[in-house]
This record gives sequence, structure tokens and C-alpha cells, in this order.
Amino acid sequence: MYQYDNFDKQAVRERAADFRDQVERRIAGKLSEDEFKPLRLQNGLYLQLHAYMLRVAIPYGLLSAKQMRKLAHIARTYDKDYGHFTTRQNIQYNWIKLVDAPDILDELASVEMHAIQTSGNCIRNISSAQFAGVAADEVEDPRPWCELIRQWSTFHPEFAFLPRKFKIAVNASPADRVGVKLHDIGITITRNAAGERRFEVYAGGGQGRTPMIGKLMRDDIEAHHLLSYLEAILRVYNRYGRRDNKYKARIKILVHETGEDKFREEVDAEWRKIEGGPVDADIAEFGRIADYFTAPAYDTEAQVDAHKARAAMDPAFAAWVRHNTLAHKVPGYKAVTISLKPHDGIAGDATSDQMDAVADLSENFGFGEIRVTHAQNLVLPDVRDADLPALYDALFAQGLGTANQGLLTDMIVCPGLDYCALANARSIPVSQKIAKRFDDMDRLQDIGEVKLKISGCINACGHHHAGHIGILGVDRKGTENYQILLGGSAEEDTSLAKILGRGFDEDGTVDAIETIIDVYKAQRQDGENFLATYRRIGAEPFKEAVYGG
Amino acid sequence: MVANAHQIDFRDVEPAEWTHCETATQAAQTAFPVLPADELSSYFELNDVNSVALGVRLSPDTEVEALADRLDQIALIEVDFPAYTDGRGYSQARVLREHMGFQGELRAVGDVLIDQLRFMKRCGFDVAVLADHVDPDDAEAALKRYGVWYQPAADDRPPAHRLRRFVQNWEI
Repeated sequence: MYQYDNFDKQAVRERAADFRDQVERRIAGKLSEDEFKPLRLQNGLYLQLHAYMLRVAIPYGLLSAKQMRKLAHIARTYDKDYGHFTTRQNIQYNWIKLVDAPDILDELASVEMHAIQTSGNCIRNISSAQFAGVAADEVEDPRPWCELIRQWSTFHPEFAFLPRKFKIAVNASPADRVGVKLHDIGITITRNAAGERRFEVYAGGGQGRTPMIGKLMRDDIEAHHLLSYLEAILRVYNRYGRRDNKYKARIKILVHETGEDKFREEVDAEWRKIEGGPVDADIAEFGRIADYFTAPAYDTEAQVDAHKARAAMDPAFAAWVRHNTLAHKVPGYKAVTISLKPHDGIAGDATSDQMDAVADLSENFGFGEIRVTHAQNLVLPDVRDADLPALYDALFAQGLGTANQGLLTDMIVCPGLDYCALANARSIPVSQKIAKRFDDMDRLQDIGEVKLKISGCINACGHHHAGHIGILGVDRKGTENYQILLGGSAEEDTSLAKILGRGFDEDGTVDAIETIIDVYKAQRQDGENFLATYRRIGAEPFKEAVYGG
Repeated sequence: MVANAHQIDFRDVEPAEWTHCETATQAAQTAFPVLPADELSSYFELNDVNSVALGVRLSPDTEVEALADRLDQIALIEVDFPAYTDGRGYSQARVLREHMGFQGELRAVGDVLIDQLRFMKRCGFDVAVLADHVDPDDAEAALKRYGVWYQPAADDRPPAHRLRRFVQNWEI
């Protein structure tokens, strides 16, 4: 993975020192909370319902064992012994004291981490596929490109005060594992007919209160023009994006109101002025970055299917292998998803001990590398088949062995009203009630793949628009109420879920989900998953079952 | 000009007694007027002009490209930041400097706070006039704190990736 050089180290140290100075001025009363707010937001520090929340950047979801141990240490020392992994592949600490925040940034800087641009109206952490570099289907490893974009966007002097936040995701497989069309900019790295590298750039996608699917801007961007093309989009957005209404300020509204074709022309006009100019990093810099992402020393003798003997006699282990491991590009290896969705837990949360355990396991069964997924799970990318039984046992002992990756209880859940100052309803309790109702592995496996996503308000941090089943918490006359949506997808077949009908209270929501699953089971054909059945039969049968004829 | 306003100079600029004017006719009789951009065409239609040098004040929605024909007759451009959160002025500055070749003085005014200065410097501003309540010593100190930049902008400062080629320190 990428290693900081002296420039990178200096950059995060400077930021940490700057923030220490700002916090001292705040505590000394030289800065009001209003004046301090923009400064703390540039460092990922939010004031939530009960305390400060610190969001730490995990660039494209990639962590070393050493970094994971530091995250555990921070949780243990400065928070309540746990952290929350987010849909942007970051980690949040929910109970931070302001006076500790500068020390935490210093701790992070010591392991090449920071909280820069994890909040505020700027270019946020670049997200990417959790299986980057190991998936058999990718055309190349997207992470060096993510790192190139990370550096370009860090402290970008022109784009620190955009109309609204700006999220970029990079994918490099035919299978979309990042939600390319649901980001402000989504990038797919491809090969053209001649086998040359090209970047497909989508703009104007997003969720929130006005969900929109991103539009293809160009499919022919060459490597040495990538940064100038991104800069052109950002400049047009910075100049013309709406600033009169924060709910209409994302680039999706600009693209929509300008019109896809006209917006593309405006970007092209700007791009022609800067393409090939100073912003287009020389390819030598890309080579320098790419050298950090060379393949580790895989065991060429790794025995394929060495876990099969255990699987034959242990159905629970077999189910875990089936659901939580992915074919690796190297024979005899698997990429393993560690579920952070135990049926009695909180989606995305991990304790300090669990983080330390995962760090150890990443070294014992891999090359000391860990990924955070947008579905709020963790990944060990390089596990030998022969090591899967020992890894499973170790995870199980830590409460990390739930075999539900991609199944109904592998829910994306926002923090909701238990933590968040923006939320209208709690997300966690309803997710826990659903997990309890479906707490039966045989039943879950029979139901198969369902992406259930829960947001506690219209801002859609829980991605309810993109769920096969989405749940949106609203406040209805002072009581929590949940609307159910069906038919969304954040993958290559991107679609937006549609509201089924009137909402329910918490228990009513759990009942309705069960009814919806029953309809699917009765109607499914030939191994269809939930989404395929929904797309074939439409919403009506579900409506009838949930609301009566 | 704003009395007693503290300003941060990123580059040495020629001092002048600039005066804000609301109308073109008023500006024409002023030695160093600063005129709103939308008065500019009226100003250039006047015959009786006694100004020594001309300044223009932009609002965030001014299309800077509209100044192209007159740019060589403008000595000062003030870019207004009505709120620090409105970042349009950064793009206006870069377009003026990098696309349009503006060589005159570029000045940031309005809600100019400490954390914005380093960005303004990089986007081609010569001067930033601090908002009233900002402590100039704190501002100078904060400005000195940042030495690493990752991207080229309007200030000719080499980005980290270009410096790396000279210092060869990336094998750590």
C-alpha cells in the first residue's frame, strides 16, 4: 500500500499543528463556536447530539495492521472502546472530547492518517472497491489512481468551499462495487477496443433528498488527462452550482438543471483550456505511486480448495465460506469479508479488541492489509484457502464470524437519532429488530441476496434509495415512522428504489419486511434473487400483501 | 477604502489610494476608482475620464470572461467573498490569472478569515483584506504553517510531485 514520504508526513503534521492552535484559541475563548465551526469541520470534527464526533479518513478503504491498531488505541483511550465504520469507508468516533482532538490527530499522523476533508463542502475521501487489487474481474488495480486523486484533491486551493460536499468513487471492474452512478463523480477504468486504458467519467449522481443517477460525461479520458478533466468539472461546479439553497447545491442539481449535454459542453470548454497543462501530473508521479501497489509475495504453492475437508463436515463453516469469501485472482487464495453485522450488534461498529484482533489476523493470514467496505464490513484480501478454517475459528471467537455477507441481515445502517443531529428517527433499533426476526442462518440463506439499507432521515446516509429494500425513518407528528422502498441498486444495474406506500411504526416495519420477503419467496423463479423477482413482477404484489387488497 | 482594515500582502503591490465608486460618472472624476463590474461598460463610454488607474469590484456571480476586452485597462480587481463559505472567488481568480493573463493587482475582500488565506495566496491573489475581527498576527502565523501543496495553481508554487523529483526522498 501507499507509504508517506517526507512531503506527505509534513502535510499531515502541519494540519495537526494548525488544528491544535485552533483548539487552543477556541478553549481560550479567542474563537467563538461560530468561528471555530468551519475550522473543526475541515478536520472532520462534528458536534453531534451528545458529543463531538470525529471522522477519520481511510483513503479508498485501505488500512495496514499498524493503522488498525492505532484506531483501536484511539477508541480505547479517547472514546468508549469502539468505533463505527461508515459507508464512505471511513471510521467515526462518537464520544470525543474537544480537548483530546489535537492529540488524536497527532496519534493519527504518527501512522500516516488524518481527518482532512472528511467533512465540509470540499472533495471528500476517495472511495473504491474493497476487492481492489485482488478481484479476478478487474482490468487493473484502481488504488494508484485513487491515491493520485487523493493527493490532487488534498488542500486543493480552489475547491475548499464548494457549494456542497463532493464525493468521488473509482471502480475498475465490470462489476460495480462502488456505486459509480451514485456519486458526484464516478469513474470506471476500462479498456477500449484497442486495449488501451480509458476512464469513463460519470457526473451528477447522488442520493440524499433528491436521488439521481449519474450521467456519462465522457468514456474516452486518457490517463494523462484525468486530473485536468476532474478539475474542469469541479471548476464548472464551483462557479455555477447553486448556493441559494443547500438542498439544491449538489452537482446533481446543476447537471439536471443545466441539461446533461450542455453541462458536458461547458466542462469540455473548460477542459480544453487546461488539458495537458500543469495539473495533468506527469506520468512519472503515477509510476511512483503505482510502485507501492505491486502484488505481495503470494505463496505459489498455495493449495486450491484446502478448506474443503472442514467444509464437508461443518455446515456453519461452509456457509461462511460460501457467503463471506470471494474468488481471488491468485489460485489458492480468497478475499474474506469480516461481517460487522452480528445479529445482536450495531451495523459497522467494532470494539477496540475486535480491531486489534483483525490487525493480528491480517498479519497471520495475509500481508497485514485490511479493507473497509462501503457496506460497513471489513475485508482481509489475501487469505490462503488452507488458512480459512483457522481464520474462521479466530473470527468466531471475537464475535466476527457471522456468515451473512450479502444476506438480509448484512444491512447498511446510518447512526440515526441515537447519535446524529440531523436524524428524524432512530435507525439502529429497527435494524436490530429485523436482525432478531430473521436470526436463523438457514432461513437467511434460503432468502438469499437482499440488500437492505436503512436511513434515519431524508439525507440518505444509509443509502435507502439504493437498497433492494430501503427503509427511511421520518418524524410523523413527533413519532418515529418508517417508509419502505423497493427496487434500488447501487451496482452496474443502478436503479432508485420506489416508496411502497404509507409508513409503519418500528414493529409494523419489521412485520412488513417479513411480508415482503414472503411474497418474494412465493414468487421467485429459477434462482432469482429478490431484486430480480421485484423487477419481473413489479411493486403491486408486494403492495397487496403489505396493505391488503 | 475601508479604514484601518488589516491586509495581508502575498506579494508586493504598488500602494494606491483607491476609492470605491458606485457610478461610472463618479469614477471618471476619481483618480483611483474601484467600480462595480456592471458599471464598467458605461465607464468606457464616457469621454471625460480623468482617472489615473481603474479598479473593478466583482461579485461572486460576475462572469469574469466579460472583462476580457478591457482587461489591459484594469489595474486592480477586487474579488468579494460575501461569506467565507462562498468559494466562487477562488475560481474567478484562477480564471483571471491563468486563462485571461490578468497581470494587475488581485485583492480578496469581504468575509476573509484566517483559514482562507493560504488558498487565496495559491489562487493568484496579491492581497487579502482581513475581516474586521480577525487578528492579523494569528493570520500571519497560520499562513506560515503550511509548506506542502499537492497541486499546481496560480502561484507558480511547485507541487509536491514535482519537488519529489529533486529531493529523491521517496524511498523510505
